[in-house]
Amino acid sequence: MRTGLALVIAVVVGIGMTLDYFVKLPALNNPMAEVRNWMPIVTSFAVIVGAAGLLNVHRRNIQRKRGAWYNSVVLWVVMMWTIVWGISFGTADKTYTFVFDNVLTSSSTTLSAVGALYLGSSAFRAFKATNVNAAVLLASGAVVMLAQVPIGEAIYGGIPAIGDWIMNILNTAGQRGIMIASGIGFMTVCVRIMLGYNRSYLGSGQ
Amino acid sequence: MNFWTKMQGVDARIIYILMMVAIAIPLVKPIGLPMRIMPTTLQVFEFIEKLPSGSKVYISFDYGPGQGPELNPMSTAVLNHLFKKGLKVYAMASITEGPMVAQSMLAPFEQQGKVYGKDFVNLGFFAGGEAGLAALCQDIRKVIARDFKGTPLDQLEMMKDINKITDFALGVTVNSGPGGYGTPEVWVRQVPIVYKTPFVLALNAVMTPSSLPFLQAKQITGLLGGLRAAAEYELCLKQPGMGAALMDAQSAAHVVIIAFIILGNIAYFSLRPKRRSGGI
Repeated sequence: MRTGLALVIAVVVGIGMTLDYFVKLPALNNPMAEVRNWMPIVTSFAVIVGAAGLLNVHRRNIQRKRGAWYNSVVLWVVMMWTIVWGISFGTADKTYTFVFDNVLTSSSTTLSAVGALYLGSSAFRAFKATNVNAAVLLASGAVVMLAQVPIGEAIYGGIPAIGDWIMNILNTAGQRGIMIASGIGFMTVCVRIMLGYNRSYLGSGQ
Repeated sequence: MNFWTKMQGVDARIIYILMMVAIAIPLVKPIGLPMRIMPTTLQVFEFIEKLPSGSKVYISFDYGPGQGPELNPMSTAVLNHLFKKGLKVYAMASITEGPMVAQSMLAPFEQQGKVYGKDFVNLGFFAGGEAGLAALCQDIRKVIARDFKGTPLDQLEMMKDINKITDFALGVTVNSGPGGYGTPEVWVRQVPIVYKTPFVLALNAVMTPSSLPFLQAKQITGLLGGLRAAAEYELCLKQPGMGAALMDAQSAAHVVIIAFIILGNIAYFSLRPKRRSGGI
């Protein structure tokens, strides 16, 4: 019964939304606009469910002293503070902003920067011209990298033009192919859902 | 053990230190390499330059603080231009950290005399991903009831004539791609394609190649890609800032990475005969 109802809702809303995009008919457009307005509310609840699930996983880690459980304590403290402070004083509050700027910004920027160091190491160890395809990929990658920075032009004046050609002709042709193929694939999945052939989103495993 | 065998087994920490030094030196002592302005950057600059004073522009900060070092210079350069032209700026975000990023980007302009609610406003986060954006395009108040500071939208002077996305003269998303709900593809699908309104993608370098087809198909007004675009935009404004300062460091980083690729390949090929004969 529950699965059947969910299936009917998905099919009706799916077909309605698709028609809404192409057909200008107030009797169809108005209810579909209303359904779209519900989405932010549904998504907000999804965030609450996600946060509750995360807290629950880490609560169990702390209770059972599993692995690096002390990290779960840090997560609990920081997350609870963020939620309570944010709800009580708003996210525009000075203390909240201070913590955002000096904890989250600093730590996430550091994590991103560490990626550059790993890139240096992997460039040395993994990027090998083991065959013709890999050699072409490496050479074009190196040219595009140099074309993106002023030193590329300083090394050889033609590098930016070659880099632009790779990006605008070869890359764009490939990207268009990927976009069109994934678009067709996406449409196929949508049609299957709307016709009721694909029910995996209902959790039935079919 | 010959030199190349030793090179293959070099400690990763030595590579990390070399990378850090290569990036740090130009930051301390900038080289100031000359740079030409790409047509794509000029295209965005010229479009904004032609907008009449008082035009309304929304800018969506769809990135977290982790992508800040690459995208903040771009946000600053574009905001600088918008404020310099006397345009009204409406900040918003499709990811939860976005409004805080917007606030930190707008704060320097507030200190320079721009007034919240008169020159700019931060509308905060809108939930709902692609469907939320589609709803926002039709009726902003249905998706965003209050601004970042908790003020109802109807109490904001700047929101008086703003109801839907077509009320803006230009839209910009400063976007780091996957991870947020409003990816560049989502914005392009829901805004410029549907409403035919001017729209600019300002992306980190890694997202730029996948969005070039939108520019070539003229589905978007312009595309700013990576730190280089930020530096170029600063040059257009004749106000070199953080973007231009970081270009030397990026030059050094790219050269070091390419040098590592070359060294790694020399080591690989010099040891290949040994590897084939079972010597390694």
